[in-house]
This record gives sequence, C-alpha cells and structure tokens, in this order.
Amino acid sequence: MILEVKNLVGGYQNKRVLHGLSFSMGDGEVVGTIGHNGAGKTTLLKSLFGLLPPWEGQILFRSHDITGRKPDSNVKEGIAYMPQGQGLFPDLTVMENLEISCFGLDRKTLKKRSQQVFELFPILEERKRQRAGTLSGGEQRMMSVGLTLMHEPTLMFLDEPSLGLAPRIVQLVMENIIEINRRFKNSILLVEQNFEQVKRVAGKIIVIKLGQIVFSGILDPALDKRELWKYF
Amino acid sequence: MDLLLQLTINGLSMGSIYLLLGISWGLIFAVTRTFHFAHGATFVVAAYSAYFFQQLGFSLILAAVGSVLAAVLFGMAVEGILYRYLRKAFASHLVVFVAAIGTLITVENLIAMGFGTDVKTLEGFPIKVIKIGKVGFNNLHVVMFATAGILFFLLMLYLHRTKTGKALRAVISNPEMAEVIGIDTRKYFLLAFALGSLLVAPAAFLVTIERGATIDLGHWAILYAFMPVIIGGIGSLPGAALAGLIIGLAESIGIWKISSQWQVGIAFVVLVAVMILKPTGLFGFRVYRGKI
Ligand SMILES: Nc1ncnc2c1ncn2[C@@H]1O[C@H](COP(=O)(O)OP(=O)(O)O)[C@@H](O)[C@H]1O
Ligand SMILES: [Mg+2]
Repeated sequence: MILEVKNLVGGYQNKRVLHGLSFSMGDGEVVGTIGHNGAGKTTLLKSLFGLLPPWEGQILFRSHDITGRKPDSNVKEGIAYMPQGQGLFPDLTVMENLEISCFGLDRKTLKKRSQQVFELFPILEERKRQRAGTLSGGEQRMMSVGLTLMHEPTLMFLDEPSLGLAPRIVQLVMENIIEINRRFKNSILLVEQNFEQVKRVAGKIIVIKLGQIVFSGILDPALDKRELWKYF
Repeated sequence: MDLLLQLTINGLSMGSIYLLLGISWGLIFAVTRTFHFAHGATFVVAAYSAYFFQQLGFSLILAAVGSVLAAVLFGMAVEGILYRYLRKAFASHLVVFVAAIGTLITVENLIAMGFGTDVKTLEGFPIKVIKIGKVGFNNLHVVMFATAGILFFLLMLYLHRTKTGKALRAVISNPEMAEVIGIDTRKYFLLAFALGSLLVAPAAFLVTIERGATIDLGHWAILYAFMPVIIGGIGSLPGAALAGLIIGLAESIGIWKISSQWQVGIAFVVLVAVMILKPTGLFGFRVYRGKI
C-alpha cells in the first residue's frame, strides 16, 4: 500500500467538511475520486497533502505516518499535488516555473527533469521563455501537470485536471495522465467531475458525498453513469 | 527653461526617496499581502539609530550601516512577532491594519520619550553645490538619485537572477502554489520584510541628512510609501519606482505655481487622476498580481 487513510476528519477553522474517510491505494494504481461540487474532494486532497491540518484520523504513506506533515516535507518524499484551478506561477516564465518547482535540487537534476517534462509536453519547450500566464488554457494545465513531476513523485494528487478545458484538450490531458502512470509507474489520486474521463483512466473509484465515502471499489466497465448516480 | 530644469532636478532627488519608499513597501505588500503601515516605524527607527550611532562617535558611514541593521532587525521583528501571530490567529485585514498603525504610533512615541521631540541632524556630509549654467544642485541630490537607482537595479537583478529572488517572485505570483511546490512561505515573508526594511533605511538616512529627523516622519514616510505602490500598480515594483519619480516631479513642478504647503495635495491629485484613468495603476494588471 502506498497510501492508507484511516477515519480522516477535517475542514476549515470551525467548519467540519470531511466526516471520517477511510480508503487505501496500491502501488502504481490510479484511483478516481468523483462527487458533486462542494462534496469535499479538494478538502480531502489538501488534508492529505498537509495544506490543511487533519482534525482526526491517520494518513500512512508507505506505512509511515504522515498525518499533518507539511507540504515541503511531502514534496521531498515524493508526494506531489496539483491544485484545482491555476497550479502555476503566471508571472514567471515556463522555464522559471520548472526551475522553482525543482527548488532545492541541483542544476543537473533540474535539466534532466525539465527534459522529462518537455518530452511529455513538447509545446512547453517551444514556449519556455514565455510567461506562463500567457499560455493557452490547455498549455497552462500541461504546465501544472508538468510541475508536479519535477520531484519524480511516487504519489500524485491531481485536482480536476480537466476543469475549464475544451473537450478535445481534456482528451489530451487525460492521455498525458495515462502516459505518466505508464512511464513512471506512480500512484495517482485523480479528482474529477467528469465521470467519462475517470472511467477511462482509473482502475478504482471513490464516490464522495457530503464529506463521506458512499462508494469505493473496482470500476465495472459496464457500469454506466445512471447506475453510478444512485450513489450520489 | 532653466527653471524647469531646476525643478526637474529637485523633483528627481525627492522622487528618489519616494522611489525607495515605494519599492520597499511594495515588495513587502506584494509578497505578504500585509498592510504594513508600521513601515513608517521602520523609517524612524532607521533615522534615529543613525543619529544614535553618530552620537556614540561612529562615522557617518558606520552610522549608515548601523541604521540599516537596526531597520532590518526591527522589520523582521514586526513580521516575526506581530504579523505572524496575527496570521496564525486568522486576524482580518482590518485587525492587522489597526495593529500596524498602533505599532507605528507606539514606536514614534517611544522614540519621542527617549530622544525628545526636537529635530535631530546628522553631521559630516560634505555638501557641495554644483552649478551648471543657472541650474544649481548639490552632491546630496546626486547621492539620493544614485542610491535609489543602484538599489532598484540590484533588487531587480536579485529577483530575476537568483534562486531565492525567483522564489520571492513565485510567492508574489501565486502564494498557494508556492506552498504546494514546497516553498516555506513563512521564511520568504521574513525575507521580504528584511529586504523591504533594508531598502527603506537609506531613504531615512538621506532624509535625515537633508532636513533632519523628527518623530512625525513615520507618518510622512508611510504616506509616500503607499502612494507610489497604488499609482504604479500593486505588485509591480518597476511601476512603484516610476510612480515615485513621477510624484517627486509633480510636486516639484507643481509648487512652481502653487504654494508649497499644498505639496502633499499634489501627490494626491496624481493618485486620484491615475485611479480615474487606470484603476489598476500604471502597470498593475490585476489587483494583487502583476508583473514583478
Ligand atoms: N477556505 C474555505 N473555508 C471554509 N469553507 C470552505 C473553504 N473551502 C471550501 N469550503 C467548503 O468546504 C466544502 C467542501 O469544499 P471542496 O472541498 O472545495 O469541495 P469540492 O472540491 O468537492 O467541490 C464546501 O461546503 C465548501 O463551501
Ligand atoms: Mg474542488
């Protein structure tokens, strides 16, 4: 198990959002997380990654307790997070974005890791002197995904990578995610609203409703949207 | 024509001080989003510690170094003790603002108690008047302009060429994302306060040489730190620098026709005019974010 979450409770200041979530992820597994707006998906990822202190429960990464550990330690230990929305530095160039995401690593490593990102997303190499904020929506999302790869993570949390993108670009980004999983053999916890996309990418699926897991298990390819709706 | 040139020179020398006030406060605000009105307190701390060190018998240069150190320590202390605590307690912007003003007033009063309220001057700057045709200025004006120019250039070089400088720009650009990629933002907040305080100390030192220090300089300083940032566009340091010079020029050329007691008013006219024509400031692209 790369990740085990036990009875996680969390939220903001005095607002309880997560009401005791438990699940686990195996090595190299892609787990899709779906749920309505406001269900607590983003809150879950933030709590797992250490951006929000969990109130109760336990998070184990490769059997080590990382509950409440700060993002900078998590990043160094190979956990990466792509936030919902703009997960990049719009006022820095593409190259500076990559450089800064490699913070604390040496030049050689930076070069190697940027090359990996450019292999996946050749368009970024063409635009490397351009300010990231001036890239198109799809390019910006590729940049965000690229940034999470800079520390060669073994566990990635991706928050709605398809959000706000045209259908054609969504296809592309999802293929990139499949390719990343294939190439680096890392585990990915993918939050999505788009059920069709989750079905393509994820093996296992978690459905969250009002801060609770209402379904979790292997995805039946025959399972269609209507059937899944009953869990909502 | 000579008069206009003369007023331009006067304007640029005072504008250099506004430039330093603007970029120092602007840097702190851009990185931390803190309404650091206690920056005025840093200014008086710098001015009075220069005076204090000179009274102890230090040379003017050493007094300048001492004043920079005192300012940096003070600025870092305000961040490390006051603001950090308030942020942890989820204090609103208004609470932070009131605490900052309170700090400014308290520091001004403490200094008045310790040093008295008379004008304090720094000795030992060899003023030389330089005359070119009918236009006259002195070497202090040159030092002001050169100091501001060099410090601005060095700051830009630092922000664009070094690792920690780029990290600061990353925090300015997207603070949540900075945390996500593992930047310890608290350290960079402290660094921003250190740099901002370092940049304001030379302004305090030069103003004290030119006209002497009084405690109400803190209020004056925060006003002129705030205006260039709003005019230049929040988040844009080149904008704040340019706006500082523009305010200096506007005031200088303005008092050609208007009585000098309206000087601050002129700066406000520039502020209001820019806000009407371009609400995001000269270079601000969006509020809270921009080109650094
Ligand atoms: N910063 C915040 N402070 C307080 N409540 C928040 C904050 N962010 C989100 N919430 C609330 O937490 C709940 C879950 O939000 P979120 O995790 O963003 O949902 P999702 O990502 O599934 O759409 C919502 O009710 C939302 O209003
Ligand atoms: Mg969300």
